[in-house]
Amino acid sequence: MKRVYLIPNRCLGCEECIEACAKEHDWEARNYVLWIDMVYQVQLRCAHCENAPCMLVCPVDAIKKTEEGIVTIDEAVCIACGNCALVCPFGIPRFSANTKKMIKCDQCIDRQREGEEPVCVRNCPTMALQFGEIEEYEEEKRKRTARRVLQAGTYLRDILMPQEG
Amino acid sequence: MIISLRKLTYEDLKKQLSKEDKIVVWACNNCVRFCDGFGGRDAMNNLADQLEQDGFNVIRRELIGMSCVLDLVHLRAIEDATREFFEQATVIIPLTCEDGLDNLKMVFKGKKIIDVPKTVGLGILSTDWHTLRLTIPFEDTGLKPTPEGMPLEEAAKQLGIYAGPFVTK
Repeated sequence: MKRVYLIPNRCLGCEECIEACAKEHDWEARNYVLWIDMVYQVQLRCAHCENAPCMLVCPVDAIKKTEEGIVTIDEAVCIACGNCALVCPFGIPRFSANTKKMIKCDQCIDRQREGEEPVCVRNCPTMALQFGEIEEYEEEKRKRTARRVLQAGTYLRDILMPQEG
Repeated sequence: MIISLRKLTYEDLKKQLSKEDKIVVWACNNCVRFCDGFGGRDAMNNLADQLEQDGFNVIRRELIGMSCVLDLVHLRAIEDATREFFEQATVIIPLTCEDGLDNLKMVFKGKKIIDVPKTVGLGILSTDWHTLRLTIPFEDTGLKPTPEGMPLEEAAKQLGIYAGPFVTK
């Protein structure tokens, strides 16, 4: 399954992902950028967990996994009880004052079905958000690490440096 | 990060606008957000609110991650969600650096883009200061580079311009 991944040290916290998300989803963004100590920023969005806790606790089965593996909320069924928000390890689902339903990232499922990537990924100016299979991401990370090991030579402590962007 | 100050006060800005104008308040959300809050979401909303209170027609508040990325600026002109606003707009008020201003002029030809920002150098953001300080001023400012940096208000005072947002709440 393709997912959106964040390379944290590339993110500048510009919130372009939030703006893009809002435009794609009726002006209500479904992702977040949190600032820690006003200097460090972390972008958060739904991880579309394999064994999604939000799906398990939804009393009306409004949360389902699509055949692509994307966890979605059926707003027609949702009763906005907020259980999903309580159990989500990332605190992603939230109550929409407009629709009076719970909303969260659907990883731009409509765009994906047309062969496009999610808007947050398309708009990210620093390419901090990447879209792909976890295996691709892991392989890319291994390649980067291998390059660092090669560069580090015998100075093994150098390879313990934080990941390169 | 880039340090940008502003050349105008709110009163100066109002003189450049008419009640018939269809105004877009355009705010960058990267470097200028930390320039004592010259840009960013709060500065944009506060300015737009004040303009509306004063009887001006603000048709759009546009926040952009980086105005210095031409593709992102161009996207606003062509994507469905925003295209109509920018076709209608007669004036854009940029809360950006000068690079952002140049990109706006390039993309939105024929619109009146108010010449607000003055980019004066580079600065550093620190957990101690929680705001940018000017460490490497551009040569044309005549200011001296210092490792500890200069508060932007002081830099603005020395240059005879202004720091921070147009309107504070």
